[in-house]
Amino acid sequence: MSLLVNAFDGLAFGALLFVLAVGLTLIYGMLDVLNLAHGALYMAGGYIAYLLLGGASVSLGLWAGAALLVAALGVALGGVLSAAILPLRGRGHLDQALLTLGLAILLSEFLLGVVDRGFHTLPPPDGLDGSVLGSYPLYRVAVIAAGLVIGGIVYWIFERTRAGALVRAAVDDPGMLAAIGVNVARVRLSVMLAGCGLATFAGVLGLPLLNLRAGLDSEVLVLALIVIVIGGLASIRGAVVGALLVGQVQTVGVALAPELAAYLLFAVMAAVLLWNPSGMFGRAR
Amino acid sequence: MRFALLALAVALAAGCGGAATQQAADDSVVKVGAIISQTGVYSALGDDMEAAMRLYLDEHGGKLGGKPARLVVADDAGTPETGQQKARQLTLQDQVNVITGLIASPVAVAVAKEAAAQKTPVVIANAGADALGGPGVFRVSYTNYMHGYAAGRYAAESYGKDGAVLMGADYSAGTETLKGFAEGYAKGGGAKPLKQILTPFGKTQNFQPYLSQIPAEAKFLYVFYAGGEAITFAKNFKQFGYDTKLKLLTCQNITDEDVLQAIGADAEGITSVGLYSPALDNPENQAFTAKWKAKTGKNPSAVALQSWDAMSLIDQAAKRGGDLAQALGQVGEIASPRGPFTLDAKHNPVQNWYVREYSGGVNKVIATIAPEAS
Amino acid sequence: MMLTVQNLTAGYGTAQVLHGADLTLDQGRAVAVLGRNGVGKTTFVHALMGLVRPSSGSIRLAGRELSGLDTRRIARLGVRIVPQGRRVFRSLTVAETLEISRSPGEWTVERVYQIFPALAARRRHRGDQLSGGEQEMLAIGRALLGNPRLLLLDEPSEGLAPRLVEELGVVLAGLRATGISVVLVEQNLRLALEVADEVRCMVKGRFVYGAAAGEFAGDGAAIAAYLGVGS
Repeated sequence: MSLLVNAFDGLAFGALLFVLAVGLTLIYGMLDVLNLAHGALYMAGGYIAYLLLGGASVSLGLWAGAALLVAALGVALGGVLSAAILPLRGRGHLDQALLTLGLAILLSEFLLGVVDRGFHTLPPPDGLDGSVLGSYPLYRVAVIAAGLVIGGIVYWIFERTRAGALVRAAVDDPGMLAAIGVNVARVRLSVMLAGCGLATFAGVLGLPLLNLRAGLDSEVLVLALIVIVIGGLASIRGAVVGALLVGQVQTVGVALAPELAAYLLFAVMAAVLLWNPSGMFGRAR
Repeated sequence: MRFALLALAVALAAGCGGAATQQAADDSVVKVGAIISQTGVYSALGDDMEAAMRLYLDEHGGKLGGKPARLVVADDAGTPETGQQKARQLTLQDQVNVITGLIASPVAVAVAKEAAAQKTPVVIANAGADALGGPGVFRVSYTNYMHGYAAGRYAAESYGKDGAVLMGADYSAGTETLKGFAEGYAKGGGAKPLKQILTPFGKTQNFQPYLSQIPAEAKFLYVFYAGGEAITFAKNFKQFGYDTKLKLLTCQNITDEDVLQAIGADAEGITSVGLYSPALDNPENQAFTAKWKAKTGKNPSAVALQSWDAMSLIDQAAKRGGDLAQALGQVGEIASPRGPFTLDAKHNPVQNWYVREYSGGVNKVIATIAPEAS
Repeated sequence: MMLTVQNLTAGYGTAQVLHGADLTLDQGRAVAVLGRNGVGKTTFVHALMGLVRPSSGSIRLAGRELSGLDTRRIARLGVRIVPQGRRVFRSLTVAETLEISRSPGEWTVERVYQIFPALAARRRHRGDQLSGGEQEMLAIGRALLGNPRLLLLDEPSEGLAPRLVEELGVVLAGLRATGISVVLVEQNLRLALEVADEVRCMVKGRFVYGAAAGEFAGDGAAIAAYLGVGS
């Protein structure tokens, strides 16, 4: 029974991680840019929502509105990030990753300057602040539902629409895509913007789970990186499986082997890499 | 090459000469070097620390021991390397008379080593590592062990002699506090704790899987968490309904001022053992809380109180005159907002601990744990 | 003149591969570019598509200069390529690939399925689940759906079974009738001669021989000299 609760809880964290990591994996897979600002975008989402809502309990409608507004701001930040990376195109992974890291530090320090360096949280919206079955927080159920919906939408766009086919084609062979007349730069930009929007959205979704604080950006970035290393680059399915696996390792795994808690995640990552160096759904690059 | 060497020698000589005259000229001034985390994960505590030190100076006409005082603040960024480098800078370049501040224990260890080499005394305003100490090291906060030990004694008396489960972050402050608890609990006649649950430090975003480890026969839980983990723990404990199944006793950090706002309503009713409460009824505390509230609009945190007392100790010692390092050990009883305390032979505080219950926005004192008669 | 290439030079990094290639092609005609391995045939068609930036020279398509334009612009002006190794989008299904390749014109997805019924049967399969022959058909279908004025084919018969090469020949030979101009790089001489009106042979990044396809077929000395076969 207790393990069942652990597993369910792992689902909630997996859902949150998926929303965060799916953008990171697509951006890396398509633009070949390891966006180390992804954690800072998550953090920005949380802090902006906190500024908008003032840390008070609000109605679900207001909450959702704030989340959408924050996602839109994330899209704008994605635009800034794209513009900043543009001059470094073709300069190699390290230069680009360092640039995003620098921007991440700027962004997170700016947020800490605007709010403060202390701890902050936001309670779940009204109606989602109770618990189910006696003692399971309702909000976590809502996070799972939100993860399912967003995951479903992302999967549908990616696998079932023309836009998604263009994105996959741009991962497979951007040169060939250009050779059939498609503006690959525009496809890439869309992915960048959508990925950044999702990252900031995840920051709102995760607010009642992970409190706002200095260092939050690198904490979630590491988790998202582990997700895509496990799942493989540029794979939606990989992001789903990676996020769910990390969620389960962090809950069921920890409950089964608490004394190994600190190493479990890295052990799983190492095991996956030994089995397939490009991740569970990755391809050799 | 030879020229460069010569230039270096000249520069060194000039530097030393300059410093010597500077020191001579500065005898009329008390220079306090404060090593504080202004950036990094402890920066929220750092803000309180600096504010309290400046408040003390402002309230005492900018003087310590009757002499004009200068506070030189250096940022350790939360790392021992930076802390040590700043300690060297403060002692050699700024010629400070004493170093204080020091939030994180690893930083404090590095700084104490450097300060000992430069014969500069250190007054620790926060770091709790048990092993921290030395002839020139004085501590106005507490040792982790004593923090847990006081709680253990109280638990044996009020929570029952068996059924204890301990939980905490897996790093020195966590394990030392829990060790102190277990020994204090045993001293009070308590049985060996049923279980000790350690969680990875700084990496735990969800305590549900750890809370599910608590055995069914547990009667109460003692926990150590600070900062962000304290918030997450307090919220998870309530969200998963453990507050209805199990009595909880915590370290002081879980309901300290830096995290209370973020924990919100879930902090209501939490009982903790700490060295201070803004609700303590004594004249020093009333004056201190009033000044602090006027300046920040909040209740003072433990770190704010400790930092105030660090300045107070330096003030008393400077008043005695003579060698500051020696004077720091001879101050005797210090009238603190936490109640009077003295330093023991190892320069750690001998003080009351308070059982506090958080309700209506403040940690109310429900019991006092006096120091063990030695 | 549909295509006029003058004094084209191009290469990779510091290694120059094309050393002044000239070629002209009328509308609705097909030219076979022949030559031994490594003489620059693939670089030539890549330069036409903008996949390699020419370092000098001119490429005019119906009077419009292509040299210096990027691949997408060149594609928009009506050039398509069936590259060596097919380069089908591995994670896209046949139907998806054809869908994103579509542009207004005579060639429609249905028409591609008509000439390649095997593709129609595999329309829900991903690119990496197709056989070599099916991938080739998909790559050709993808190019045709762009309704190009100029179609570049780079070694389409490579790795195909003889029966498939024959089918391919029939399809490609039929293209000229639709008014498309074709540049065909091919090692399979029979296929090249079946499809092309003219032959150009390349040596060290230059065209050194040109003749009508029928004429070349009878010129054993030229075949031996430029292709190294039959000698």
